[in-house]
Amino acid sequence: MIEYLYDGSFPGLLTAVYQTLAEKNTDWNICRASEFQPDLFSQTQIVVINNDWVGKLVASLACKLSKPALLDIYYCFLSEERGIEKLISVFISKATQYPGTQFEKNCGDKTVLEIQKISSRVSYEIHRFQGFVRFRQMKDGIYYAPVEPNYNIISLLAPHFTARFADQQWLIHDLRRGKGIFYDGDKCSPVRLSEIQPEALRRCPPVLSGMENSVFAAAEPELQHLWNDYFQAVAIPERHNKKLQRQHMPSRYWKHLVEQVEE
Amino acid sequence: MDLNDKLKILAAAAKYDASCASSGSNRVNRNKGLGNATTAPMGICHSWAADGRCVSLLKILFSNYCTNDCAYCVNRSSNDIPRSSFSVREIIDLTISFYRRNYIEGLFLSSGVLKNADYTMELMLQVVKKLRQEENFNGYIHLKVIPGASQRLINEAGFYVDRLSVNIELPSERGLKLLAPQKQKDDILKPMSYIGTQITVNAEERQKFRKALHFVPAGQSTQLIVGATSETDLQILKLSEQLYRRVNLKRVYYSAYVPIAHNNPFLPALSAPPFRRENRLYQADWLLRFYGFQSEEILLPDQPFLEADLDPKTGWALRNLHRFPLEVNKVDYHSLLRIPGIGQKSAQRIIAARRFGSLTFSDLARLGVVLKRARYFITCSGRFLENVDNETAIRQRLLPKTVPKLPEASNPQLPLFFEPADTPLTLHYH
Repeated sequence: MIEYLYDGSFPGLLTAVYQTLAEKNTDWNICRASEFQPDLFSQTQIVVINNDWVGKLVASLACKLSKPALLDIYYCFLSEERGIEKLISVFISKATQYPGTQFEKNCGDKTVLEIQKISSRVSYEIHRFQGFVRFRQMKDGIYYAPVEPNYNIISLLAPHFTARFADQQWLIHDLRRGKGIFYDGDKCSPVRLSEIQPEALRRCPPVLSGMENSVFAAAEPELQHLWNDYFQAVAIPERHNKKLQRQHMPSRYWKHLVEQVEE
Repeated sequence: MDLNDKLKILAAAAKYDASCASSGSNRVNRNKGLGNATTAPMGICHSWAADGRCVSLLKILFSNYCTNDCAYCVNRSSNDIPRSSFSVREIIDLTISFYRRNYIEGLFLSSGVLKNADYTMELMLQVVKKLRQEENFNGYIHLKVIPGASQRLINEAGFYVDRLSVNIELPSERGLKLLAPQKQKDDILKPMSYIGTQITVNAEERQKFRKALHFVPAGQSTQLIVGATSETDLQILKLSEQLYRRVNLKRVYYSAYVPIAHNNPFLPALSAPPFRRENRLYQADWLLRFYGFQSEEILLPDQPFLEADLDPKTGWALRNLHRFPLEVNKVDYHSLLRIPGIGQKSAQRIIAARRFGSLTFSDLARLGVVLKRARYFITCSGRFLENVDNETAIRQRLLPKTVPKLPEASNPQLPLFFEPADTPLTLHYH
């Protein structure tokens, strides 16, 4: 078995896929170099990003697949799920070998179905976080939101929040991956958070949970209380249904909300 | 009274309005302002309250003082509850601060009637205009029309907000007379058809002049209370159908009547709100809007209530067994939509996937078809999954085995009301 080891970037993955298609080995796998665990029986090959190959592959895919299907591939990559590289490259190889176009419509095919399933999970999480991101206003005026999404999605939240909060500086911080997106009032760019943010910002639970709140703007504690009061007041007691609440908003998302969701 | 208490009172007073949509607008962020009401086809829910309903807008009343005494309403003038009113500034500040923190998609503003309809409407309009003009706020705004407000105010509001709505609440004129004696039928229906007409007129204007302002880009909606008066489901669905087809309505919300007044002889004594009935009505509503059904197909005059234990589409299919089974690999999209267990998404997937080869039952299961229901109504390349073809047998298999989970207040077919129900509201064009 040949293990293609890539750097974890999307161009890296596409280079690896191109290589597997060109070399036509039967027994192979693609794996992030950082996650690779060597065993006795496999050969390894380090993938070096080749922009020519990436360009060729993308151009041929663009003829074969619709735009949403290309996006599906990228979403699947962002899922970072185990074995996703293999699934993506099998899908790409099937799509390029299919004589017609729009292979992605073949929902009878297991690979297609699996790609769609994972992609829709990722896009569902993007949709959820458009709602679940909670900004806290900090002393310096920046609106700061800590998040811990399952998938690597914060770059895809950027257009949504840039269009919405054009007149305020904000920062969304993926605590799990140590990276963020920062909008400086003009444009949005990715940042590595350990470099630019003081330690106090890195863990920032809502005021309500009793954290010492010297890092927040003066109005922040009161607003968080107002929001929590509002949140508690809108529930209709006769319709009490915690199961339904949990179904829409699983408990793993509660940690960084400002409102207090009760068990 | 401090702001926290006000907010608690005026949010709790608004909570019985079921409307929560924040989708369908095309308002974009202009001049680097705050907010953007164009979202993906779906709106965005920001949280879910302990009753499982989503929180997407700051849903509040301007005031819960009210001159009206509608029996079903928690804010009726004779009810002894704490009362309060916001100032215009307070609502603006709350909306902006909540929005900046991504708590909400925008504002839902309703109110009890202060002095008279126009006075109240003017105050609400002030909030909306200031948000748009002074704060450059481009988030979503849903404004309630106070029944009886003048057309001038409604028309002006329509150019600042994303959605307008007038709540019908009671689906028949008799119900209104009985429980909301100060409300006139025309106070409710006239503004609705006025808004409907304005939407049409505005659409034509915008075709001619590219820069013409958009009148209520997210359309109008309404709410019907279910179970406070004696209307049948058929009457309710017929009303909804008219509203969708004739006054350009985007959504009808159904709200199970939560017994809040315990001493009114005209109100039914329910042990629990009719949640299951509300749920079935929503299913039937979806059939009207997205599945090409007519209200007469869903319910028959001699059976005017939806079945509690079966969804309305399955009910229709069982009454029309002669149309089945349908061959999944052949029939068109609209026929697929009529099969119980197949929704819009799975129908679209079936159409796309069968171009690549005929589908089997296990393919269908993977595409998301609910075979538990669909199996009695389809064939795959001529093959059946079930040999049952009579209504009683299928019904028996589909009915829930256990006792229904949701408590039902009473069987809707028992006469709760002794006077005959009158005709439902009808709409007239100007």
